[in-house]
Amino acid sequence: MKTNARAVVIGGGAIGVSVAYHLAKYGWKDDVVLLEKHELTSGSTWMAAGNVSFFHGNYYGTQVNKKSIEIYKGLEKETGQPVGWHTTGSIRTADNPGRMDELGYAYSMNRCLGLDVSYITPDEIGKMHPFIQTEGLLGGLYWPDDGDVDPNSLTQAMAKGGRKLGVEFNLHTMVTGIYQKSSGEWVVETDKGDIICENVVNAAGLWAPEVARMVGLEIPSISIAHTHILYESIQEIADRDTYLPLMRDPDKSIYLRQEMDSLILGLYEANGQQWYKNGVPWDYAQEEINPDLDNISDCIEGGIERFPILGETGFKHVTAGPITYTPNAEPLVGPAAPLKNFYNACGYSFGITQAGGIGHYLAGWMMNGEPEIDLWPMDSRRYGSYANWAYNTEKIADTYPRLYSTIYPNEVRPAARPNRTSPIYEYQKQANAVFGDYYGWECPNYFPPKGEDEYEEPSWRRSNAFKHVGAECKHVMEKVGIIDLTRFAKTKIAGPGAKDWLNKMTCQRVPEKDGRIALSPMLDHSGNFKTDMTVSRVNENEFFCVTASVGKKHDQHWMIENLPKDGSVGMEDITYQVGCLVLVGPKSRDVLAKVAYDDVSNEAFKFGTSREIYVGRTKCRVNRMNYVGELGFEIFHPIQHQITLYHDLMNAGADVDIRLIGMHAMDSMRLEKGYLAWKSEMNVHHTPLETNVAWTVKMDKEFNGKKGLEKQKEKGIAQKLVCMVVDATDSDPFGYNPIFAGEERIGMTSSGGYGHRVEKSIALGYVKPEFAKAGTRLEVEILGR
Amino acid sequence: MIIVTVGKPEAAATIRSALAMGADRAILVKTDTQFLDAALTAKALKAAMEKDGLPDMIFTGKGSVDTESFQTQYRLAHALGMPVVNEVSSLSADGNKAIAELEVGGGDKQVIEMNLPCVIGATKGLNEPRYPKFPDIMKAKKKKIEEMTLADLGLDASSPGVTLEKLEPVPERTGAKMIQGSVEEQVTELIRVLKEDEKVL
Ligand SMILES: Cc1cc2nc3c(=O)[nH]c(=O)nc-3n(C[C@H](O)[C@H](O)[C@H](O)COP(=O)(O)OP(=O)(O)OC[C@H]3O[C@@H](n4cnc5c(N)ncnc54)[C@H](O)[C@@H]3O)c2cc1C
Repeated sequence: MKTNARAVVIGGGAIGVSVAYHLAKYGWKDDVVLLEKHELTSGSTWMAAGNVSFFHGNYYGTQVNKKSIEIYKGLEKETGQPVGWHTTGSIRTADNPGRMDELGYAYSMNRCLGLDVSYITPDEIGKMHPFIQTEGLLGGLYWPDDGDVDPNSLTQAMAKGGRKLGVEFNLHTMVTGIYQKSSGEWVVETDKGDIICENVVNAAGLWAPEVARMVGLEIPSISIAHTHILYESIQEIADRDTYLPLMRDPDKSIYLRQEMDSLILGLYEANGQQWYKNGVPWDYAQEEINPDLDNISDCIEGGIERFPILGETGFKHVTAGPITYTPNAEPLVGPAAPLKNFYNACGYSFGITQAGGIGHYLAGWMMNGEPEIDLWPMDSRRYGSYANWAYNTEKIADTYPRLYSTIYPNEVRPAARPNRTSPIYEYQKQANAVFGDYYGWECPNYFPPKGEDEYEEPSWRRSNAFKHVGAECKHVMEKVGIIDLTRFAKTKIAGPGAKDWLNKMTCQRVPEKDGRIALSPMLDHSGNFKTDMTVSRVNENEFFCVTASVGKKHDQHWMIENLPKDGSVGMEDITYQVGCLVLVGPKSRDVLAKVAYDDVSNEAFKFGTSREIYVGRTKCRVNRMNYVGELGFEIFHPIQHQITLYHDLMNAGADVDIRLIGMHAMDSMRLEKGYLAWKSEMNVHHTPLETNVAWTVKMDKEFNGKKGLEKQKEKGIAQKLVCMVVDATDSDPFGYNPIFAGEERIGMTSSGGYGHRVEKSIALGYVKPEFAKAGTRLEVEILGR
Repeated sequence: MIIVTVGKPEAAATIRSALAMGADRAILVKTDTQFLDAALTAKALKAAMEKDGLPDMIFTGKGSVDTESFQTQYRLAHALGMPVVNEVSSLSADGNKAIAELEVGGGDKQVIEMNLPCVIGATKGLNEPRYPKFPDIMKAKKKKIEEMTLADLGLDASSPGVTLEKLEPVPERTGAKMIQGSVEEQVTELIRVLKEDEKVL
């Protein structure tokens, strides 16, 4: 076994083998070592059904699937090893209007990716699948290019490809410990000796949490026993000469596919059995779990209703195998914060579908520092410390049975909540808040009157929150409100090198004077958005930086990774010490003036400046700016003062009808103003030059990503951000809606919603620059229409 | 059809499978240990059947797969005074008679005629087991399993004639050879090994 390597991949399942293969393929060749404690595929992989589809709940996940399929189809040619690929096509059915909307969303999103997908009627479904009983179906979507693969052959093929390129596969080699040397190199300890390496990938599947613990991380991944049933041979299938399409009836929580001359029924039952939830024993390998038929009988009955033949065909083999699940069933991929050169590739529940694609993208990410596509939906940094083991065990009990449930964009599930709350949480509740869940924070979405719409109906269309959100927007426009943004990520950057370093990290010029604020995008090396922060200068050597709450781990990780080694810049996470209440609306200055000991007049406190002032007895840092585009103040305060501050503001505003305002109203107002949102408009596919914050780019200084922007300037931009007013009746755009000019697809929305102040449906999106002119008529496809 | 089992309470799961495959009801004589000596097993079966009413035909396996003592059917038949044939691979009934076929090696087949009631030790080929269908599995849950203990049958397990001391795997003679590669490669390699290295094909 080697003792040195560029990369060590832990785990020889489909995922680990694919990552190793791709790392070797893209250039690290024989500098890649894979460690597997047993045999390849002996974790989850060997048992998988092997269904591989384009369908995925989000845009980038769909793209990973697409990449996998492309790779699987080419593997045999490259390695000489067949992977058992069958193109069968697949159908996803709908038996209710909410599901049809969801399919519509998928349809539109798939069209943005240029995939072959079409609507089909119940009659057509019946013709394509002779065993289906179509009664009650409203329709479905059909992907002709979906198929299945043999998980073992697939893994072996990638291993063969990897071996040819020089990857060293060490089977029966168990990783027992991992530590980082002061030089930054990793030492991976195994029962066969140690390996020193630059990069480590945790692809340990069922054991990924144990491997993570070796480096002090807690990752939310727990196994659940997933059951599928192989039926005895069916003559009508044996007689066919084409493959039956894979069927998914999400409303019955089942899938059904052909296996040789028979069928496999897979199901997601209501009460998923967590398996060794405190940790899978190290010596588990290649064993089936005893299935619990009672627990899945409802789903089986659902299957028989939809496919009556299943009631007349014997069970040849019922089997259950362990699959890892995360709180939202998306995997955990990418840099493991706060570590350097340690990557996750685990938490997979559809790892056969994604192995190829994620191997490709993660290898690129490790080698280039950036992923080729925005992998945020599966980035392991989307979870903060709140997403611990206990959270996960409660949360997946809700997620697993709903894997096939319609996912509505506005749905907030009550499971495993609350976690983080602002000190004024009880007051928000008294004000009848309907809460959303943002990075573990309870944050009010809207405030309906008592007894009215206290639960937001999940919907792809305008919900019952609509009129209440409208009232809040109007209130902000005419009077004054308080928005709780305690969840903001707050970072103090200080030290003699702080200013220069920040100037390198952002394309914007860092404020030159105390009390100045700068909107400061941080870019990756090609000039695309990494993140965006609001930087206030406290003094020459100290800056107060605010970023989006959900990006906290991601943004701070980026900063940590880039901190100079000489100690000239210090970074302190002050998120949990500092709260933020935003006072907004035309009356906000009057209210602030009443309680502040300082002069807050326009002359003394100009737009875009930041001051330390006393609001009542609370010493606050106040930024005169906000995200809704009305007069307003972001009041940052010591969190232990929050209730006092809240009362002071509420009392001061009582005579001008001050009230609490929720997130939905804020989002509506930011859309109207065309303010960008992180990971919607600002993601790794766009540079500031394509947007309305091009003014923040200061080409007369050096910064990360400058070369990329220079190149882009030279070539001209290929996309431009536009704000569109949409003729919509009851459903607004979301994001990932295709934009058409006539027949031609010329772009895609990045976010959308209803602007209550302007009373119009609004979308932000990127289009070809020639269409980015005011007054251009374009079409936005919403929910497949 | 009635299933009669002598075994630990966990044996109920296996009985349920048999009920799902079509049996009508079952009797479980509960014991504390998995391995009973064949003499006692046969006594327990006899007592349970006599209590329930003797059938026309009793089917057993040709031998248990764990202890392989191959005695129970003979002891049971002897105790009941019935004829017995083991390793039956084909069976038909003709009025009061059963006609059983069994392979006796060298490609020869024996055909045996017996009077009912009789004991039949079954081997592969006697019947193609039906895979249970889901509705049958559900129905099987409602079918009755009558439970009793050895003591209920007036038997005593305390001084068996034979006890099983140990059951352990035979040490492997040579290390198993793992064949790597795709299914096709594995098959090709296996055939080569069997032909060339092991010369068994
Ligand atoms: C019944 C069933 C049906 C499924 N159907 C499908 C399907 O149709 N489509 C689909 O896409 N997915 C399906 N899946 C899910 C799929 O199997 C998994 O998502 C996928 O196999 C995960 O692969 P992995 O490489 O991440 O993990 P694993 O296969 O679990 O591999 C992890 C490997 O890491 C090794 N390892 C762990 N710790 C160490 C250590 N300390 N040192 C060395 N090695 C270590 C383990 O031995 C193991 O081999 C199914 C799963 C099951 C059980």
